[in-house]
Amino acid sequence: MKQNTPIERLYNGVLKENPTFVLMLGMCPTLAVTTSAINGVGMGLSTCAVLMMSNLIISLLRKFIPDRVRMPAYIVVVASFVTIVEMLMQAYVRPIYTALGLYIPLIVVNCIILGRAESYASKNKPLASFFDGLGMGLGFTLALTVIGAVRELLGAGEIFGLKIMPDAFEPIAIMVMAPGAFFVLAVLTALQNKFKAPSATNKNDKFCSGGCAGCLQKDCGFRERSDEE
Amino acid sequence: MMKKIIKDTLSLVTITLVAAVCLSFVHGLTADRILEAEAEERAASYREVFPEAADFRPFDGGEAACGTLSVAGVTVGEALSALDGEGNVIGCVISATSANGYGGDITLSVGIDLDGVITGMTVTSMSETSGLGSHCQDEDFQEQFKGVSGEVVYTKSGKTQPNEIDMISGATFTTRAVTEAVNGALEFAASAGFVGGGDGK
Repeated sequence: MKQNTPIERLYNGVLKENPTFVLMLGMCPTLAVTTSAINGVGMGLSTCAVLMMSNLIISLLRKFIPDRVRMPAYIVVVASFVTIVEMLMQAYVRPIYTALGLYIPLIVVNCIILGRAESYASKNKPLASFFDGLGMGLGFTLALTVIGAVRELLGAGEIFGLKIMPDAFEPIAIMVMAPGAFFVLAVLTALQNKFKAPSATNKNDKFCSGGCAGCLQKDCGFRERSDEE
Repeated sequence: MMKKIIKDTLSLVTITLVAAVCLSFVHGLTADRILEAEAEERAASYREVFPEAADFRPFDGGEAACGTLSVAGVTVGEALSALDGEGNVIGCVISATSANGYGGDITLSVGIDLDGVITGMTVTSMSETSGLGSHCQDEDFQEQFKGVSGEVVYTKSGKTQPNEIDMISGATFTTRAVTEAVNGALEFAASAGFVGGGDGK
């Protein structure tokens, strides 16, 4: 697939380099808000909105921002978008705002956002960066929704608030508490390792197809070679 | 060197200024809507605990009377008179907070009519353990308070008396805090003259 086209970026973010499952970034919000599928969707989409806009702006400003103050500049851009999203949610989607509470301001320090700004948006054109943000955001949303659905199913017998499990099923309350998040992620990672699926804990050259611009694996020998080209 | 520092500073200042302008613009757009939504939410929670009332009015002297009650850790935050369509006082809505929840404060609204009967109870904010104490916001649990008069007590072994409520299993602290806060609200309503044929001020 041709590099840095909108479609390729979407595919990359949702599947190939899914931020949660493959890159294993942004684990704090993943652990914290996935108590139900709907919370996962809310957190994922708000992160997605911030990610798209911050990638776009940082890409547009990539020549303007001096290299030595790029970090504070990125933080200001990201924090502004997070505050805007927070105000909009507070005004128009209050149930989700109430459920996510403290975790919305924490989107600022979500490492997916700074990670994409640093490793992709600051080196690529605005359109590709925008779609990189959209892809990564959707990938994050998908991952949070799936993890949230599993935890909700086991912990409350429901998915999206709909009763799924038979009445005889006694909900395992610990699955919707903090430890449940670790259980689900641990099982997931164990399965990924077992089946040698691509993930940050399971480095495997077979899955590197030379997409170095978006790759966070700094110690990879391939990177130097392609940078010189 | 000096030139570099000035250039860095200027670009950062520019970015910050632009960001500030954008933020104040969005704030201007949403501020009113946020206040409105908060007021709507409050009104909706009052109606939920006192469905018969047509309107609510801050209760005169309520501010002064609000404060710590005889139950340790329970405070009344807000008290409103519930009015019927013609403006007569038919009861009150009281927001009470207990600091004794498992995860800190539990705030709830209680509707109480002139006979001292609870018309409804809603837990408005809490930070209890998800899956255990958080069930205090369930319809089933809150429904139990409806129609109760006199001091509410919680029981483990299934309710037999009209003033008993079934506790939330695995959440004794939460149940106790909720019961305390409701009793605090009842005490407040009695001392403020709402209950017992008072004129309701």
